[in-house]
Amino acid sequence: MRPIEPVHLRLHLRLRSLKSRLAAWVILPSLMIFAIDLAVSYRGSEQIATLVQQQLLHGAAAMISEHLTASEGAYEISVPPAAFELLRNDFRDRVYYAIYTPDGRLVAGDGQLPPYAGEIGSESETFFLTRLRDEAVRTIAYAYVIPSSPQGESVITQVAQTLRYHEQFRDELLSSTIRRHLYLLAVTFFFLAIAFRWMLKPLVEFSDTLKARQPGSLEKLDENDAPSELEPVIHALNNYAQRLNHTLQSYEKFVADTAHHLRNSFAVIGSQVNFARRSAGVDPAQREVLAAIQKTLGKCTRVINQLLMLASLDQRKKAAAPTRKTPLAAVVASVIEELAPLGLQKDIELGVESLDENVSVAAPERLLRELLTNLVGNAILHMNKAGHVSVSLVSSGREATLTVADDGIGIPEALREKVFERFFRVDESNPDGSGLGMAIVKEICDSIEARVTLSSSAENRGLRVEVRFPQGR
Amino acid sequence: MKLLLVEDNRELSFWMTRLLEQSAYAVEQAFSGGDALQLLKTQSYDAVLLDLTLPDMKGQVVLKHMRDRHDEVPVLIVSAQDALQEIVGHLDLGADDYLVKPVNILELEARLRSLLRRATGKAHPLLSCGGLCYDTNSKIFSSAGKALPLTPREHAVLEALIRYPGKTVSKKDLAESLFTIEDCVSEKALEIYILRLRKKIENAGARIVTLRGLGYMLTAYAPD
Repeated sequence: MRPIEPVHLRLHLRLRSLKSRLAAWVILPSLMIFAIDLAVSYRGSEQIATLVQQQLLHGAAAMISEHLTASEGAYEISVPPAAFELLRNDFRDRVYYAIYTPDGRLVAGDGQLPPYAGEIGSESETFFLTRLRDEAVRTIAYAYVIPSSPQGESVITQVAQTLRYHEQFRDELLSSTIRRHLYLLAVTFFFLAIAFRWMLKPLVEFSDTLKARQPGSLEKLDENDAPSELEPVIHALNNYAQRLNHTLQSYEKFVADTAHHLRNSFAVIGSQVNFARRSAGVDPAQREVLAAIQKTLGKCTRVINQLLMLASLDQRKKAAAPTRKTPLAAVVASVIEELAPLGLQKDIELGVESLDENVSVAAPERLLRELLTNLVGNAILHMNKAGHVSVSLVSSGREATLTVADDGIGIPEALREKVFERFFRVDESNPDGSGLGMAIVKEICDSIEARVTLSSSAENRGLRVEVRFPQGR
Repeated sequence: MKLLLVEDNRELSFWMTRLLEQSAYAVEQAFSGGDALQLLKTQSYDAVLLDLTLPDMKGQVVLKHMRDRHDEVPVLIVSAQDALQEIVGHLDLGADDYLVKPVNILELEARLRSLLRRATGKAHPLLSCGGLCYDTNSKIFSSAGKALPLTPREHAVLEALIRYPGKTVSKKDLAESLFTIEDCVSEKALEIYILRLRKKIENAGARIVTLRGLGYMLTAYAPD
């Protein structure tokens, strides 16, 4: 049974389209009517062709019989050529004739035709099909009473003709019927195709309208222009968009509220710790604890900010707005400046290789700053010894490439794609990593249509992150 | 220096007040926009720290009221919202600076200082970075109360750096600061001055950071 399944499935799938459903319901009945009518016409054609042949046979038989004379058991005949002329045609049908007396004696004609064995009333005729010399023939048996004979002698005249012309005639009748049907079907299909296009045009236009909408657009669709059949669909879509909008709004509000509360709480703890650290009379152990709390606090704040960043990026994807261009070189310089103290603490030298001042990127400055902070910050955080972090920004016509390269431990090739996942950490033991930095990088890149790739620096050392921004237009 | 802290979170307000008082600021607290506007009518302050999410009205509204009645006291917005558009909006409304919560107290104090400096219309005579101080009147660098012995060239370089602590100063700008002393300063020479300066300020709680390709930057540095 297994090989049948795909066929069944395909048929099922094809009928999912409205067009094919409609077509199926128009075409299948048309074909059925066609088939029935064909069967009926075949019978009709056969009947007509048979009737014609029978008429001719009858004519021939009557003509031959009329030339028969009889007197006292002796028969005389001169067969008229016109009788055979009647049956002549272009198809070289064979014609046989034979005249028998009622008791089976051959009076004239061809002995190949056996005497008629059935019952037959006088002055009547019967038709039957038989075979002669391996070919089907239609035969007439015609009982004839010779009018000139005083005893009322009678004979049975048989005339037989092969079916070549009969068949040809029947087929011609049939094929003309078929031709008529085909014309009709063609016309039906033609107008059906036009009707489909015309009928489904609003649907196609509707789907084009939907496709042309901005991703994330929750604007209402106009119900007035659409055909009445589409109205429920549009209504449902609008309803769905409205509910989605509501959900998004409450999600946004939730994120904003969470951000507010968390930051306020951390601000309180931060102030408290700062106050304690600055107060005199704290012993070294307490000082150490306070410093540690402050450090943890800083880390938590960073993670919270990163999570909020991710949340806001999720939002951005849903409602991307066209943005102005931001010069990137200034952002690079300012981020490096900001991270210089962190680099100093870890004995890491920051710098730029080349900085194309003309590169602008169609993205909000906030996102670009976040992108760079994560890239350079990540490079610094994951270097466990003194080293270098280099940033370069070059433009090559169609795209600008930002590269952040370090000479740290790098990331094994197999793990390079995984670092873009949220909370994935290459080195679980590094207390400074949150596992969110590269996820943010990836999502920012996705949201501004930039591409980010990881590789290793020269001599297979360190990590090299390349971000390519589309340029121009 | 007298500050007005407008913050509806009483706990945060309490601790920020204590912190700022520790740094010798006189702080008054307002817990709502209405309170703040009332206080601003009768009292005069050197600066206002303004939260944006207040129970009775938005911080933006408070700010607008202030500016509408020509109250030009410097305003530093301290808020938990970080959208760039909002920052731009507030600066348009007349805020002087903006910090996102949770704020780093050192950052807050630095911003306050520069705000106050700008407001008084004259440069603060005493510049500092970490434990390194520079008196712009007497032109003397000092650390822990002791003057640092610097050559005129080192002095010129360090002065250029301490005017923008935490900001990159390009080699070109540094070379220009030496222009009055030398006609032409080679990069090599500049590197030597930086090297010497680094040694001299080693124990002053400040560092000169090289940002390769960008320039130099003076930053506070306290090894843990």
